Amino acid sequence: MKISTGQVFERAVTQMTTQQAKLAQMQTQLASGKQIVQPSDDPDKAAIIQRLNTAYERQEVYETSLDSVNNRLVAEESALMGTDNILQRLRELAVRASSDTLTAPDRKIIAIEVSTLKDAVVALANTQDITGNYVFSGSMTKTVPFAIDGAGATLYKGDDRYVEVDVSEQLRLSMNRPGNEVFASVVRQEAGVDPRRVSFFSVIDDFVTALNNNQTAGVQRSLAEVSEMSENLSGSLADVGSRMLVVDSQREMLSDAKLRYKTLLSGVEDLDYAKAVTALSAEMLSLEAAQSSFAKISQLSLFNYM
Amino acid sequence: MSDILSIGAGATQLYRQSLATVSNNIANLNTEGYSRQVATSAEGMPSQQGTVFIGTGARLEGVSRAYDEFVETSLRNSGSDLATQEPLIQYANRIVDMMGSQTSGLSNALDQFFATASNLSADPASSIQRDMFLRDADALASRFREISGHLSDIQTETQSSIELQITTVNTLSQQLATVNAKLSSKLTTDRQPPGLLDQRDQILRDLSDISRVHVTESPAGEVSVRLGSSSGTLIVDGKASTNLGVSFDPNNPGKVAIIADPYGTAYAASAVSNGLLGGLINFRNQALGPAMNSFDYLAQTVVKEVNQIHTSGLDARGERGQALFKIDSVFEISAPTVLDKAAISIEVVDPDAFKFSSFEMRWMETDKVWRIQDATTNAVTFSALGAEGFIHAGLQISSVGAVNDGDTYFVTPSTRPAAGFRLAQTDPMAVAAAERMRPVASEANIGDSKVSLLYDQTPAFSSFTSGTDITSLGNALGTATAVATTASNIKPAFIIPKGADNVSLMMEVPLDSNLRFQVMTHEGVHVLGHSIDTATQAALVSGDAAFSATNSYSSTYLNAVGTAAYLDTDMTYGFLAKSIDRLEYTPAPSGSGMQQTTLTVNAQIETAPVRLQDNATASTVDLIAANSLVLNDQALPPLTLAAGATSSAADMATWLNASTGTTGVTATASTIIRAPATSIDLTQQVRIGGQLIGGGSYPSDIHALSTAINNETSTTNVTSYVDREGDLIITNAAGFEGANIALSNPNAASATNALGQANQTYIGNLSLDSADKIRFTFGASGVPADLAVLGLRTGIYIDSSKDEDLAVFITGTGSANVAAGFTPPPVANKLANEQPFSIDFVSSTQYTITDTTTGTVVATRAHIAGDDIDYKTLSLTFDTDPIAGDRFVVDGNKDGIGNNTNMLLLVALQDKPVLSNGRTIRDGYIDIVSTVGNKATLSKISQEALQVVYDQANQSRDQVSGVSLDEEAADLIRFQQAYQASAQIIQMASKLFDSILGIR
Repeated sequence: MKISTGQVFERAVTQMTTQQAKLAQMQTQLASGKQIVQPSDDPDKAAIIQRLNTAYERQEVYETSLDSVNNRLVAEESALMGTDNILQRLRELAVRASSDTLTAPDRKIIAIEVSTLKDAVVALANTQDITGNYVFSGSMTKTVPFAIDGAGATLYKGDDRYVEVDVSEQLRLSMNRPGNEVFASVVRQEAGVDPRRVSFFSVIDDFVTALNNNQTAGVQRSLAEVSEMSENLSGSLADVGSRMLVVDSQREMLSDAKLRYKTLLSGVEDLDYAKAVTALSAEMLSLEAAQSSFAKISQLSLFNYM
Repeated sequence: MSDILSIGAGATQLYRQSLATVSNNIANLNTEGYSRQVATSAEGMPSQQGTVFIGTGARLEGVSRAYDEFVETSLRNSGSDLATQEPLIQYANRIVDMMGSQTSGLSNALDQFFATASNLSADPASSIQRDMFLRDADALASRFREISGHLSDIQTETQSSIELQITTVNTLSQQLATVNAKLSSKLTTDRQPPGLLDQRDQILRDLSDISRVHVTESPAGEVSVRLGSSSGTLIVDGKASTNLGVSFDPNNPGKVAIIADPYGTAYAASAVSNGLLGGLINFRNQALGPAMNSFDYLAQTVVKEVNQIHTSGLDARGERGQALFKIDSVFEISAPTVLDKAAISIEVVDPDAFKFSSFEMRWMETDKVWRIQDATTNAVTFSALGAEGFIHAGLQISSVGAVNDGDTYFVTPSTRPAAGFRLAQTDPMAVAAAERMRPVASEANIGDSKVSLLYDQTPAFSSFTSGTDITSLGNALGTATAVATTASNIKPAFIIPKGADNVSLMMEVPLDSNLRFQVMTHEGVHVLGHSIDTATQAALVSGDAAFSATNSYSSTYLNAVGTAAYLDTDMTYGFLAKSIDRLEYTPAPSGSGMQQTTLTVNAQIETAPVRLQDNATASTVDLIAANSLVLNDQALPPLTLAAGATSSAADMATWLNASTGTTGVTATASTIIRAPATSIDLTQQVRIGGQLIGGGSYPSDIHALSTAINNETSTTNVTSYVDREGDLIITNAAGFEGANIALSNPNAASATNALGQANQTYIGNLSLDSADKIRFTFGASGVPADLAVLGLRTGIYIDSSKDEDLAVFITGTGSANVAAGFTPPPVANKLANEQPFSIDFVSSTQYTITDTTTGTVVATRAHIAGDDIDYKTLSLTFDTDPIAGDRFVVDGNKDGIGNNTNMLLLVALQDKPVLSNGRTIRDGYIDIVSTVGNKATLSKISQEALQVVYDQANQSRDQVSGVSLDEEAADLIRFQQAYQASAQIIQMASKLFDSILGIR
C-alpha cells in the first residue's frame, strides 16, 4: 500500500492539530472550573444546568417573600400583645367596677382610665409595618383601619380579605389577619330584642358609658363582653404565633432545598479536577509522542542516501 | 551498426524523457490536485532480416496520468457529504450558545420577571415594587427582541453565505466549460494534456465540496455535470454552463429555491441537500426555521397569557387593567395598481390569531366586502360588510379614504412577532395586581360564613332558548316590515339582546283582541306588561329553560319609571313619542359669527285611521272603558258611543282635548279620502253623505267633479280639491274636521263610485301634538286593543337593555304583526367590569340579589344549603351556610390596593402548561434550545463518521495518484542508470564504427 509524501505530512499535521484543539479545550475547562465551557459543548447538560439554576433562584425568591411575611407578622404580634395586655387590664377594671362597694365617682374615675386605654387600643389597631402598610386593614393597606366618625363611634374602614403570598411551590401563607377578625365584634343577646352584633370598640364605649352612668347591669355586661373579646384576641395571637412558626420552619426547608440544588448543580456543572488533570496529562503525552515521532519519520528519505 | 546507434540514441532519448517526467513529479510534489505522471515506453517495431527479427529499441509511448475514475468519484462524493455537516454544526452551536447562555438567553430574564412579580405580590401597594416590576417586564421584552434579532442575523448571514456559494458554483462551472472547450480538440483521454485533466478534476472536487454533483465523462475527457444526482439540473454540458440563482422567502427561512438561468428562462433547479450549500440550506430548514417559528409562538403565547391575566385585574387606581405587553408588527402595504390610495392602517388585536403571513385585500364593490387572499395558503376569505374596517386573522384593518372596485392592496408583515415584543405600560400605577371584585361579609351578620369568588365562569343561564332575536327582524318600524307572530303564554316570542339600545317593538293587534305584551328578565322579574295572576306567572316562566325553578316571580318593577324602575332603565309599555331638541345656528345678535340655540320640536304623531264602530244597541257603550288608558300619567275618562251613533275621529279628538289641560296633548282629527286620477270613473255617480253630486249630470273631468263636490259643501260638509299629482282629495269642510265621510252610488249594482272608491263610510285619523311628550300607558283594565281604537299600535320602548337579555311574550290568543327598531348591540366589550351587587338572605332558604348601583332587586331565589350561588359570570362559595339576615356585598374592590390575587395568578403562570404541547413557558424555551443542540450533536457524530470515510477515499486516491518521494527517487536512480547504459550503447556503436574505419 503506497502512501504519498503529501499524505504523510497531512495526516501527521491533522492529528497533531486535533490533539492541540483537545488540549486547548481541556485547558479552558481547568481554568474555568466548569465541565461545560459553552452550552454547545453539551446541550443536554446545559439544559439541566438551566433548570437547576431556575429552581435555585426560585428558592431565593421564596425566601424574600418569607421576609416580607415575617415583617408583617412581627408588627402584628407586637400590636396584638400590646392589645392583650390592655384587655387584661380592662378585665381587671370591669371586675373591680362591678363590685358593689364602689360608688359612682369611683366608677367615673375608672371610666377615665378605660377611655385612655381605648385610645391606646385604637392606636395599636392602626399599626403600620415597616413598609407603611396598615397591618389590620385587610387588603386596603393604605386605609386607616379604625377611624372615629362624627358621632364618636369607632368604625372599621378596612375589609375582610386575606392577602396571601407564595412561600414555596405548595404553600401559600396569609400575611395578615383582617381588623374585624382580630378586633372581632361580639353578639349581644338582649331580652326582647333580636341578637345583634356589637363591634369591639362599641363594647368599650358602652363600658365607659355604663361606668359614667353608674349602671351595674351595663358594667356586668361589659365584663362578659370584654372577657369574650379577650378570648378572641388570644385566638388571634395563637394564629400569629403559629404562622411565625410556619415561617421559621419554611425558612429551614428553603435553605435545605437551596443546598440540595446547589449540590446537584455542582455535580453537573463543576469540573472533576482529578479526572481532568489526568486526562490532560494523557493528552499531553500523546501529543508529545506524535510530535517526536513525526520529527523522526519525516527525516527519512531516499534522497539522503543518494 | 546504424541500428545499434539508433537504438542507443532512441534509448537515451527515452530515458531522458522518463527522467524529465520523474523530475516533473518531484517538482509537483505539493501541487494541489496533481496526479502522478508515468512515462510509458513501448518496444520499437522489429525489423526483419531474413527469417530473424531484430528489435529496434524502445520509444516513448506516452506519458500517462495515474488516475482512477471510481476512486475520484468516491472522493468527490464523500467530500460533499462531509462538507454538509459543517455549517449545521457551526451555526447550530452559535444558536445554542446565544440562547442557552445565562447572560443572553431568555431563562434568566424570565426568572427575574417572575421573581419581581412574586416580590410585588408580597407588597402590592409599594410603588417601588411596581416600578421594579415594570422594569423587569421591560427587560424581558427587550430580551425577546434581542434574541429574535440574533436569529435574524443568522438568517441574514446564512443567506449571504448561500449567495456566495452560488456565485462560486457559477464561477466553477464557467471554468469547467472553458476546460471542456480546450479538451474538445483531442479525441481520446490519453492524448489530452495531463495538466488540463488535473485542472478539470480539481474544479470538480471544488464543485462537489459546495454541492454534490453527478459527473459523466466522455471519451475525450469532457465532462457534463448535473446538480445533486443523476437526474438533477444540468449545469455544465460541454462548452455551455448554466448559471444558478437563488431566492429566499423572508417569512420562511427554510424555503430556499435555487433557480437555473435566473436572467434568462428561469426555471427551478433541483434541490441541493449535500455539500456546503446543502448544509446551509439544511440548517435553515431544519434548525433555524423551526427555532424561529417556535420562538415566535412562545412570544405570542407569553403576550397572550400575561395580558389575559393582567386585563382581568384592577390596577392601583381601581380601574380595569390594560394589556401589559404588546407585539408591534410593521406592515408593508403596497398597492401598485391603485391610483388614489386609501390610507390603510393595521393593528394586531389578537396575537393568538395573528399568522405571520402576507396577504392581499381587494375591494369588491358589488358585495361591499373585501376579498382577502392569504399569500402562503392561497385561502380566500371575505370580510364583513363595509369598507371602513374589518378583522382578519387577529388584525384590525381600517381604511380611510375612497376605495374603488378592484383596488388591491398587498400587505406584508415585516417583523416577526418576537421582534416586536414590547412593554405596553409605563405607569407603575397601571400594574393590575388586584382582583376585580371583592366579596365582603357584612359586619352586621350574625352568622360568620365567609364567601369566596370565582370569575369568568360560564353563566348557568346565558340565553333564552325560544324567541326570535329582534336584531334579525330588520331595523324598520313600518307596518310593511312587520312579522306576524302567534301569541303564546309559555314561550317568549322575542328576545331583546343585551346591549341593544333605543329598542322599540311595535305590535299591531286585530280589533277586540286580548293580545298583550309582557317583558321579563330571566330571573323572573316582570318589567313591562300587565298584572298577571299566579297561574299566568307560573305559565310564563315555565316554557323556557332560561327561567330557573329556584327563581321567584317579582312584579315590583312592573311598568315602574324613573329611579323606581328596573335598573333605572327608561321603559314604556303603550305608546311613546318624545319631543326633540335640535341645535340651530342663527346669526349672533352682536352681528359677528353664529350663535347656537336649542330648538325644541314638539312631539307629533299621526295615527292610523281610528276604529269605526256603530252602536246598534239601545244604550251607550264604551269604546274605551274606564281605567283603560293613561296619557302622560293622567287617567283618561272612558270613551263612549251613544246608542245608534257611529264613532268618528272628530269625537275622539274632542274626547282627548277634554283632558289637554292635564295631559298637555292636543288632538286634531281629519278625514281624507284620496281618489287617484287613474281610478276616477266618470261614468259613475257618487253620493257623499247621501247627497248626490252633480245633480244627475256626469262631470266631464276631474276638475269638474271637484267643482261639483264643492257645490254641495254646505250640505255635505265635505270639500275637495285636486292636488299636485292630479289626484282628487276629499276632506272635511272647515269646522267639521274628523267627521266621517260616507260614499255611495245611486247605482246600487256598482260597488264603487265616481271616485273609484268603495261605497262605505270613511273614518278619519288623529293628529296628536305635545310640547313635551305623548306617552300612553295602560290602566288596570287596559289592553292594546284599546290603543288600536285610537289608531295607534302598542309598543315596548326600552332605552337600554343593559347587561342582560330580555324576553318578550305575546300573551292571549291570536296573532299580531310585530315590527322592531333598535340600535344594535356593539361587538362584545370583553373588558366591561361586572356591576357590584349584594346578596341578602331573607331566610336560610331564600335570598335576593340586588344591584347596588340602582337599588334594583334583580332576582329572588330559593337557596339549598351548601350550594354555590351563580350570578352572571361569577360564582360564590360559602364556607359555612348563611343564616337569615346575613348580607354579602360584592363590590369593585376599590381601595383594595393591598390585594394581590391577580399578581399571584401571574406568578403561577410560570408553572402553567400554556403551550400547545402542554409545556410551561420555561420548558418550552429550553425545548427550543435543546432541539437545536441535538441537531448539532447528531451532525457532529455524522461528521466524525464521514470524516473517516473521506480520509479513506483520500487515501485511496493518493495511493493511485499521489507522488511518493521515495518512489520517485528510486525511479530517478533507475532511469539514470538506464540512461548511462544507453549512452554506453552509443559509445560502443561508435567504437565498432571506428574499428570498421580502421581497416586499411
